[in-house]
Amino acid sequence: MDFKLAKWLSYRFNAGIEASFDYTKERRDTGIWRYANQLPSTSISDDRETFTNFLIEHTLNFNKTFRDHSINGVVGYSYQQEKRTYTSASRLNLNTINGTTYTTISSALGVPSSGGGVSAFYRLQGYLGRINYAYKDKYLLTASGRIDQDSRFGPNYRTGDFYSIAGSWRISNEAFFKSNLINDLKLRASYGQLGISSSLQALGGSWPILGYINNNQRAIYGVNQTPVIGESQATINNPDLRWEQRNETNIGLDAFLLNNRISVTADVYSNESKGVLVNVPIAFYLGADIGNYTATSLANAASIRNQGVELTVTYRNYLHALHWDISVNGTTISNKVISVGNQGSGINYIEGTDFIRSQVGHPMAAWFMLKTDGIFQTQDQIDNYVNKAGVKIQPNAKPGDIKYIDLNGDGTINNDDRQFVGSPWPKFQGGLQFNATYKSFSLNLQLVGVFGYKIYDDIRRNLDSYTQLTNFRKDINPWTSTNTNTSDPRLGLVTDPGINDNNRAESDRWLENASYLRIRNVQLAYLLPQIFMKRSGFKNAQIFVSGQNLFTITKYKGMDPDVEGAGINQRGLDNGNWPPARIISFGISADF
Amino acid sequence: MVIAGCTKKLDIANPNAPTSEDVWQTPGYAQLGVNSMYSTYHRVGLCRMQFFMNIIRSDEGFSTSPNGALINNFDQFVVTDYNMFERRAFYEDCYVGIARANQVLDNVPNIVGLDDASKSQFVAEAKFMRGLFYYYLAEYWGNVPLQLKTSLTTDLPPTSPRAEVFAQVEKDLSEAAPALPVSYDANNVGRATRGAAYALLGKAYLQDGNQYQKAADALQWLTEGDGKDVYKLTPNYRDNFVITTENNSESVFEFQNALNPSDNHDDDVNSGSDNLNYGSSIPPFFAPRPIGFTDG
Repeated sequence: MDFKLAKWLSYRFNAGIEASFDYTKERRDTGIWRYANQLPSTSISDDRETFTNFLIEHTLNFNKTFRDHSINGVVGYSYQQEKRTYTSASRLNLNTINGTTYTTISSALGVPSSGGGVSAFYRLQGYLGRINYAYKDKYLLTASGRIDQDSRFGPNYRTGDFYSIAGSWRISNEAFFKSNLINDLKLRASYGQLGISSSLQALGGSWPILGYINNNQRAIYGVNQTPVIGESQATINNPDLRWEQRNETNIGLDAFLLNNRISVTADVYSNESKGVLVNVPIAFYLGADIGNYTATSLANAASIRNQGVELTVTYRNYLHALHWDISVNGTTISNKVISVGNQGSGINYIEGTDFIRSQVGHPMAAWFMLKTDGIFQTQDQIDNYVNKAGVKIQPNAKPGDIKYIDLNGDGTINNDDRQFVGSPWPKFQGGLQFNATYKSFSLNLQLVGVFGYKIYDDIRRNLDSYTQLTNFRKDINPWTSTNTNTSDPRLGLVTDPGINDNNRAESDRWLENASYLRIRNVQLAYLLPQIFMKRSGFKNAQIFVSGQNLFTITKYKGMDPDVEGAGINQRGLDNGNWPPARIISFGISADF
Repeated sequence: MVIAGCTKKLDIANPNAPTSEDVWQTPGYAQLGVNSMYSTYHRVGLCRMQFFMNIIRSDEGFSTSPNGALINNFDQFVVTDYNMFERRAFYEDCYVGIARANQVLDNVPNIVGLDDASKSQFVAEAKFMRGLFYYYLAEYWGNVPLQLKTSLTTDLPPTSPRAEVFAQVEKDLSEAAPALPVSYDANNVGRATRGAAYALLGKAYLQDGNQYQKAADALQWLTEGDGKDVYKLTPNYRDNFVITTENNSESVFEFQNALNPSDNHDDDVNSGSDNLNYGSSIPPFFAPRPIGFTDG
């Protein structure tokens, strides 16, 4: 809602609410689901979740022009609350009488179990202000500031203040600037701070700073062997959690050339995230367990920097009946860890898993693993693979097994032989947009390309490890003495230590180049003639057919190269997450 | 339009659980804290993984597991990964138990409203449990860090040599023994007793450089001291292996196990405590096919 309070002052009120109610029911009937396992119990379970998120914003906008100066600005207040609650119940051993299986919880015969709680509840509050000043539309200056508060931080660190400043200079409006080629030229620079706390809910929940009691322990005492409840603090909390701060510095240029037919935008950027919230692995001797044998503590541990160059060039041709424009853009990205906080003396890295390491001076979550060097073809090759002291490096290998590189030459292959072998961050991202209109038809095409990064295919590792005895890849091609032209090692049982060695998770056998080129969007639309419009009361109606993610060119053999991974500590780890869908749609859009 | 009030409450209490500070004010909580130490045995490292090391690595058993890593690391002594979960879970769980004992030791003496006799017994039980877990660590790993207080994220204790770890074990057990009861009533069988502390102390002295005299002094309480009225050999050796004669007169310290028909996990920190394993999870892992995994 907008209210005009004066010629130069207006007030806007904005409110939004999002609510969702989820209901999941899970039922397990009789049946074996895994080869050679005992029959699990039948069960029924029922989970319900309620989610609400509402936002309120008040802003005052002012706008004043006098002579060559123009000032406008805004001050405002915003408030947001998110809450999520859940209830769940389940019971084992469904009752089956006369061929009918009863699936309500109360009808089941086994031990019931239930749970419930508030999984998220937090509030955000912020005050903001911004001023824009322009002189003769030649010199422009913007300054803004924000004060943000998040209920999830402790009272000492709850408030963060963030400022930004930007300026630009329209060189083409200067008296000395005379050019037939360049119609508009603007040089700009900016420095801004941004406070981020959005990763808190996923990483640490709504109450990450205090220590809470876990009441899931059960001790058994007495001749009747009765379970009694035990409680302790299972996690080690960090009371010093605070806002992440991202500092963004940018220098750029906008130009229009050749009668505004060509526009060019170029930027050099450097973004540094300080105090990134990361679940840092902590030593096991502190005796913490947040569940599932994970010993981590949330901390503002890492500082990460992204730097690069961005360029966009657009060409427009509106001279003839066919109007078209084409735009090409590219961004280079260089990602580096600047600091990891205090991880112990002499340790300048955080290791999420055995093969991912975030080390100062390297990209975040870089691949750190054993390097492979093909497959042993003959027993002689195995016997001759020795280090300087003559020790056989892989004595358990047989022909057809993977050869690993012994980086430190100590005669065994272990975690000391790992090295940095690549990054999950793309080095270059580019796109192409093409738009054309001819009479009532219009065509939009968008291409996207992402290059220079590697993905770890965990699904392929699971299938190619030959450990579970029933599932193999369709195109598996194992090495045999007559089939040597393959990169898949020999088949065998996992009681063979050579086979076990081939399956090491911390090797680059599972790493692939994931660069891809994709047709992200194509849309063909037809503007319905005005005769239909007048009769129907619609103003601009279009029928369209469009396709998203139609076609991808990539060498990556997994499901989809567009993988984000399970958090910033494990970027690029393809766990089989749901890939982006190819969507073809038809529709009508209209204004009325 | 109402302009939203500026006194929004940014202090939101957690409705799911009480804070540690709050619970340690209540006397009744001390027993719950003590119970958590005994629950540590139901974690996978202690109730299953330590047997991979004891049974499979010795001549008592061997492994035909479909998981080759288990065969390599436990049966064949071919170590592919020093941080393997099956091995590391045992280490982690000993420290989880130690952390729980430290919480009891740091907080119980300060509880207002709890009588001194209870306090001294709880403290003694915590010292016994801490001694037991450090005994495992010293035996299996030797040089380990000694963490003797409630943990903070900034703690970085140095590694202590095996002899120092054993010295700590012996200190804890010697202090615990006199304060522990000789026996418990029927409802509390399974908790640490004086005999258990002296027995473990004697065992520790023997492992720690064969200190025969000190071991003999500790064990004497069981055979010639007050303990001789409590402990004697059972008439039938088989009684020690049968469920109907648990906690018999030969039993010095026995982790109690119970059957939970709906058990499906070994992590006593996960919600879903109704499905927690209340015993040892060895059976499904050592049993032959089709019931078990034949890991050992």
